[in-house]
Amino acid sequence: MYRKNLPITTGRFPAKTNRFNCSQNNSIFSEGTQFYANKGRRFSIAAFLLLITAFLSTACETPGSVGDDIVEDEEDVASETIYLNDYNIIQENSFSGRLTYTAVGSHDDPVYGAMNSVALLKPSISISDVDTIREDDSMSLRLIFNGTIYGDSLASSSYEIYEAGKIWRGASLRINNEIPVDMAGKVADFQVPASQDTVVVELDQAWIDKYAGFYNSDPDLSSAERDSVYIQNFPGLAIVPSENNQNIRFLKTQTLGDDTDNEDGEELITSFLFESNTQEDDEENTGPEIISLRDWGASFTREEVSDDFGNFYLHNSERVLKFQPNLPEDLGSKNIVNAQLILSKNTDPQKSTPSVARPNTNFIRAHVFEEDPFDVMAEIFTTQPSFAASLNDTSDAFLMDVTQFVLNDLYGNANKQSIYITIQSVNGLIYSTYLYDPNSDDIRKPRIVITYVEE
Amino acid sequence: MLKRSISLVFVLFLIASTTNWLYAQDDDTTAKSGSFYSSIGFGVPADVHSAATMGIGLPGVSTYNGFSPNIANPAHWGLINFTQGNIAIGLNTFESVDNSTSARNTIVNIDGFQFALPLLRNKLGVSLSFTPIVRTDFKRRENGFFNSLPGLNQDNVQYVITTQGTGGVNRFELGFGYQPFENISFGYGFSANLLSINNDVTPLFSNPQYSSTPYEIGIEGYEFGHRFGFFAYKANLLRQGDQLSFGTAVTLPVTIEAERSLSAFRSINQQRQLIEFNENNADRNGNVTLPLEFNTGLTYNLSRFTNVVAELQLQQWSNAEFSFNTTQQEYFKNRMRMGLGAQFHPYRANQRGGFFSNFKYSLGTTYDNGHLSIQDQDIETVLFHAGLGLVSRTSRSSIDLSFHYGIRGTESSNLVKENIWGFKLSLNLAELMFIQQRFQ
Repeated sequence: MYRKNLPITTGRFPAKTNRFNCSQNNSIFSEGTQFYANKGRRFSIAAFLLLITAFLSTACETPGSVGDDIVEDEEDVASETIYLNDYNIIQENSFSGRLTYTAVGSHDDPVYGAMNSVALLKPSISISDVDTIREDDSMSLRLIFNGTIYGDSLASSSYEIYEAGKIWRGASLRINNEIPVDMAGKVADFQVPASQDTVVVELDQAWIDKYAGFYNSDPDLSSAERDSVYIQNFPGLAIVPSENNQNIRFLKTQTLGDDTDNEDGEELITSFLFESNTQEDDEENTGPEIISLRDWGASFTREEVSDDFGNFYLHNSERVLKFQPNLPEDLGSKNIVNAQLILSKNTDPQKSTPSVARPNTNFIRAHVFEEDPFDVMAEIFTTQPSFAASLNDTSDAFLMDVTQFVLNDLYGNANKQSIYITIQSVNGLIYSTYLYDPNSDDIRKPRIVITYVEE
Repeated sequence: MLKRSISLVFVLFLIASTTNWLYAQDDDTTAKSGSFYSSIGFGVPADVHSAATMGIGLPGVSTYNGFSPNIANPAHWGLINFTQGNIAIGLNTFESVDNSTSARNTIVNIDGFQFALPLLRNKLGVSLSFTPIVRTDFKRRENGFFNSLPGLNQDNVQYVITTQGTGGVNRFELGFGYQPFENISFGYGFSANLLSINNDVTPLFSNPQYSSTPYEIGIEGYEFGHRFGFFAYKANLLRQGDQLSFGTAVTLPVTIEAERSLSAFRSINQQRQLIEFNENNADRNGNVTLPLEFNTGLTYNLSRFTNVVAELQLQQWSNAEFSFNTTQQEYFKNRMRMGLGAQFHPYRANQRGGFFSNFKYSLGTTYDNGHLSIQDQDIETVLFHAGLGLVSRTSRSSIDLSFHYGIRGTESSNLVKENIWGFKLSLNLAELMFIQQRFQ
């Protein structure tokens, strides 16, 4: 078509003219060379124009939400509520020894049952501070109380101290595992007002002598052998609440590390005080020596009361809420951004007994195990919780972020796992709370609200 | 030849560097997004122009040029004399407003490349090309609040969901053109239409308990397609030295059976895993149908220096399908795009003039009634084009640079109005290949 006689749309045929010119005519060849130089400049001009234009016009983008209403035909974010209808309350006893606090006292709580707690204490026989306990030396028990009171918060408490009736070990003590008391020989008794947090009780000389027998044992024995003989044969003291006791108090038996109770900045905890009455002339009286606790625990028992308020309540050391959420399969197709477990606190039972002071439950924990544990309380005690939540003041509910559990349940686990809910922690204080159960109003039912982004 | 190749490589290197620089910026400000309307359906039609008519904003179905390949009409491939290559790059800026807010987006992208080879010079030629057909390049933000836990008196959670969409439908085409008669040629193109859309979604929440893990929506599939072209011309029609040419091309509809995936990386049992959210969903598979397209036009060469081009493009978007979002599919309507332009070629003079006689000048305007009708409003586009061609007097390679400015959409009915401006650059090579040279 254009090849011979129609140069309009094609222009000249440089393929022909060029090659002839370049090969046969030096002047044209020179023009061609000049062209190449010009052409190089043109490429440079083009590149320069491109760069300048690109730089000027693309410095920044400012993407906005224009047209949001056009393209969206549904909500961007939606949620689905899964009610937790299938649950179990596991009643098992957790540990009560060697904890931060040791309960001592008794109280008949109309909501959570009659409780009695005997504190068990055993002094150390370490000879680092005291070489020998002689006949004339004296010992006393210095009790440091936490400010928390369960029961009548105004009443004074009276206690009697006896020797424990059997050998016990703090690490294996459990709630509702009663240790007998040898009521034959009282070691001491004392009374402590509600406002007082420290009591020093003089101990009976007969008990001191019995203790000294272990303390001053054969010096040829190693410290481990001395301790072994001592632990297996010396029952220690039992602080028993008197019959008219109206509250439970909590001895500080382990340092927290964040509390300073005296001027030296040393944290005071319950301990024994030793005072030598056979002072040598050349010794300066530096006051009583502290003999720390070798072992401690609580012999705590509770008698449950009628379930006037239902059975959906938890104790921090005795009752666990276990449930396995039945998540619908279609949730697997959603892009889940959050899952909140909601447990609403039922304060009605506590409000019905305003005169009873109780440690406030404001924290819950959730444990998830690969397999259901044989000893739930031991597993909960020894492992970190998977999730935790504080009480939300505005809703009076615990709002726990369980997103990871839901994701694991939907995408990861062939075997469905359960969540074990406990309140507070096992630290020796006594916590109890009622929760609204699945028969409550929808707004209060235990549930998981799953939020996802719509496509 | 060597110098030209080096120059071309240099220019391409600069372009690539520029593009990389643009993409290397912070994610929030990079030049990676285009028209807002490309977020609807499976994108906006990509108006790919032949290099020769780029300056007037028309495909060039009726405009033949011997020095750059024609992408609009397969019939032109039967006319070629030289082996031709072409690569085009474009930059567009979209300043979008609706009744409440505004945005500014910029996109740099490759407009395609083509390689055409004469098997029988001026008789039979083949073409291999890769061009975008439908393009989705957008960045969109959705803001809002939601009541996180109804009934519990919790503060509302604010969210911002950013969606970055890229991809579209690209056509990889192999075709031939044949000129059986002196003034008439035909052409056919067989193509693989590759659908690949990727939407990266990043939600952000005011409450840190809500996961901001990004997720990805991908739509992929392919299908083969067919395109036919016809071209005819008549010289000395109204006066001596003029020429009228007519071209038309028809692209048959293509239905792509596509798969849509919704996935994200999440930590499951303390291991990072790719989660397919819709793996077993019935709506994972769907159809994406490209519309029937009809292109036609007339080019009248008043002389060897001046030509006027008028073209019409029709796309039957009312039959297009996007089964993954039937609401947006309802927006599809038949599209008509028409344009008129003129070109001036002073470089064709036998004697060199001044500096300005080295260029090709183009001017044109196009009207597009749009492929979308939202709330009974057609999303129309009016563009003005101007082009500058750097044409060699002694070589067959050239550069075409074009600028355009226009308006798309409307602010009424709370729709989006876009001011569009940008430029395109086409690098064209034409050589006599596979022919033994007689002289050196």
